[in-house]
Amino acid sequence: MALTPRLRKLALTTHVTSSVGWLGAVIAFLALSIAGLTSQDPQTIRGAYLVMELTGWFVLVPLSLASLATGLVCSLSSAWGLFRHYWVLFKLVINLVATIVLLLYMQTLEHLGDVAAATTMSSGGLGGLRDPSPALHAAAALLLLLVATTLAIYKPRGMTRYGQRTQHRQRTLLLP
Amino acid sequence: MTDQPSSPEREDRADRGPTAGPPRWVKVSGIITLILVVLLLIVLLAGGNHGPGRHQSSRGHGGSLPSVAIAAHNWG
Repeated sequence: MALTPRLRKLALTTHVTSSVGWLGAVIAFLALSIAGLTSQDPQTIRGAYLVMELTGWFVLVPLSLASLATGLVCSLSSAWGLFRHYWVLFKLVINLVATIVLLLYMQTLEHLGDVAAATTMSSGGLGGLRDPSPALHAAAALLLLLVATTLAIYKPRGMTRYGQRTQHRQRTLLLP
Repeated sequence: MTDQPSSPEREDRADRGPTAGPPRWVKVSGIITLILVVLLLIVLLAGGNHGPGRHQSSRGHGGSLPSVAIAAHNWG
């Protein structure tokens, strides 16, 4: 995929922005999930689950999809390619897994948000709403996104077999 | 940091031969990922009742109410 340098920079800027924004949103989500899990205040617990649902639909999902889409554009329009280097491949897998799990997990978040919105509970009835799964999912997502960010910055060496074959073919074509 | 490749061209020079195997960091990462996936599967299979459908049984399909909804109803 050929892009002009200006468009390539725009795609890269969007990719970095959405990816780092996704990471920051996951950290905020983790804080909310811990507040929902540990707070003694019923309003704080209800508010945490309501905001988590909104954050999921209006921040996490759009940023994850934007990161995935712009990542594909950036890799396919550059010499790095999508399947040529292990670090790009690892980032693709991380992004895909994190996005799919997020989209599947939104059903659970939606349900927790519905329960929090529909009920006026005293502190005694909040035990059922205290679910550790949002915190566990957010912690796992944070770990994955930190690995992806590290890979993007360090770009560790290593070409896949496909990348090596492509490189070999290109060198053969260049020879007189 | 100085010996890290910053472009594909620089990395091309770093790779030796057209059939070099995966570098050590790929092998180590692969093993760690495999262990984590197996552990996750064990936890999921042992714990059961996980996944996006676990809260869905009572949503408009006449299923039994989950403990959260029952608690909400009782204390509401």
